[in-house]
Amino acid sequence: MDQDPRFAEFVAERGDALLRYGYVLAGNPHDAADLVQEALVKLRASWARVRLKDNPESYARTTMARLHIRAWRLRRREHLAWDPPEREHHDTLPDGEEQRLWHAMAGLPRRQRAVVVLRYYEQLTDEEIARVLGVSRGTVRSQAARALAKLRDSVSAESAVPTTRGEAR
Amino acid sequence: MNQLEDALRRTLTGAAGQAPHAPATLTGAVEARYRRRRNRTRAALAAAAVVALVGGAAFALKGGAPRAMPATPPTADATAALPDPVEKVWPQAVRDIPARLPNGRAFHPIRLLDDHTLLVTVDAGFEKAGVVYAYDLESRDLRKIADVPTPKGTVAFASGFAAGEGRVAWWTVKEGGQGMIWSAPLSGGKATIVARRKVDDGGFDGLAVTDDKIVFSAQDGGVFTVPLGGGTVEAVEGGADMHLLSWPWIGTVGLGGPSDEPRFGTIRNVETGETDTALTRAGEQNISCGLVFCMGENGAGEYFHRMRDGSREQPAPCLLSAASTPGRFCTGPVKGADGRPLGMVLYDLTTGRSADLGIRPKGKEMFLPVPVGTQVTLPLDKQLRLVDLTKIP
Repeated sequence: MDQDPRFAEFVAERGDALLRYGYVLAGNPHDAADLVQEALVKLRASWARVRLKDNPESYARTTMARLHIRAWRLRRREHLAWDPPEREHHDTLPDGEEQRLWHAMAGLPRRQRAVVVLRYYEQLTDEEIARVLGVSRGTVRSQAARALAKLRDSVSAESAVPTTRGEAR
Repeated sequence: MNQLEDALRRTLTGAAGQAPHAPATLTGAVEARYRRRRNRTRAALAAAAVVALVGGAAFALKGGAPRAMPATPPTADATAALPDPVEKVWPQAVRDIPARLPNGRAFHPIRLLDDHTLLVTVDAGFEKAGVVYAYDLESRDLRKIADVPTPKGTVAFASGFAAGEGRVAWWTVKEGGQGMIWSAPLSGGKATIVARRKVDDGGFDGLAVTDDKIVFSAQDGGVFTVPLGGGTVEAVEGGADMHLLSWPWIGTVGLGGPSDEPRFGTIRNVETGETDTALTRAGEQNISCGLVFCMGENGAGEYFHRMRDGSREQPAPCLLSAASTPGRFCTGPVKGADGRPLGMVLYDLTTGRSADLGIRPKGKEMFLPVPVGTQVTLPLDKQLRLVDLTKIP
């Protein structure tokens, strides 16, 4: 099956947006690139069906969230076709609190982090988050509550002892 | 709206702005990964139908003469001639049958059920289900076992046929990753779904009928069992992320795994708990192991064959197969003195004997049959050649 030019168009148009989403999900540019590529491979495999029946972008985003919580280790499985350059990315976050929060997010379990991203970046309702992650709404609520408590704790602790690096996992 | 939640919104939006841009090569990278993945899956599905581009590096044993494990590595330029034909070297193992069934349909050979009964499938025609048959090679009698249904929305058609304990089993995948394991009585009857499981695009990579249950593993990892007639699917203890090798042995990584990790490098006997890790050396890649042997490529790009513990290493005259794990037999092309490929050869790595399978290059390609289970099947003009490896002493 040859590639549908509309798939290439989709990637060109939405690649950056997906990468931004991958970045807040994964917390670093490398895993973000992996997530995006893996989700696009799956989308490519189902392109004809997804284009007709679903929204390709929401399909890709859902795939990325699910891959992320599956403790997915693509790095072990396949060489990256494209790996973004390492760079300091958090130092341009405007103020201390946001930097601290970004650091603190690295300490969240994957599922909690996904819930936080879907709620506060994707602006999804708990019901929608439950659908995306394939869990119950109760699970979304409890994961969100735990994540927020943890973030609150570590931000107040970090205010006392600031750390320097945001990519620790 | 509390402060923390507001701060989180700002943080995430701000951080997202720091993400790298997608490179112009992203589409190409995705396409390449997609094709690699698809080819791997296809190879795993169509195990015996791999076509090798002739001219790739391949070593070969000296043609013809039987010999034991060579002490000195045979070299590529020692291969000016094909060995004797397989029907002469191992006549008891070869069976040539017409390429079409008595009813005129083309078919896929699956495996020998006994000495003279071949399990075969016929593809679904227009608005017609596929069928699985028992084909008596002596009487040419074709006995229908079951229709092979293709539920609406199926994206991976019936694959992975396995037989045993009076049952035949296979798998399909419907869109959305709905994997299904089917089973029908070998004596004939209706196929039923005995297990359902969410799987990724690769579907399943292992299926076996054993004792009182069906064992299967998912391409993305996980080994499960279900009673023969259906029932509760149970995860095999310690089988998460593992793949079925040969029951009761499971292992990791699976055949679809990365080329920098040995396929079935680590295996475990589910019944006894015994484990084994195959020896690998620095610089080696594309290693694939079965229960006893491993094949791979060393740092110099040469193929080797050896025991799991690393002993009895010798250059492998064969091409590595992505579709099956290495065993005692393997296949590879032989080149003439001028470097042009002559034909495809079956090697017995235990005795050092080899035989010409009868395949000749067509243009720049040559059919590469791969030993699957205990047989090799290959097309030969209007015939299908079966080599029953259990008949080779």
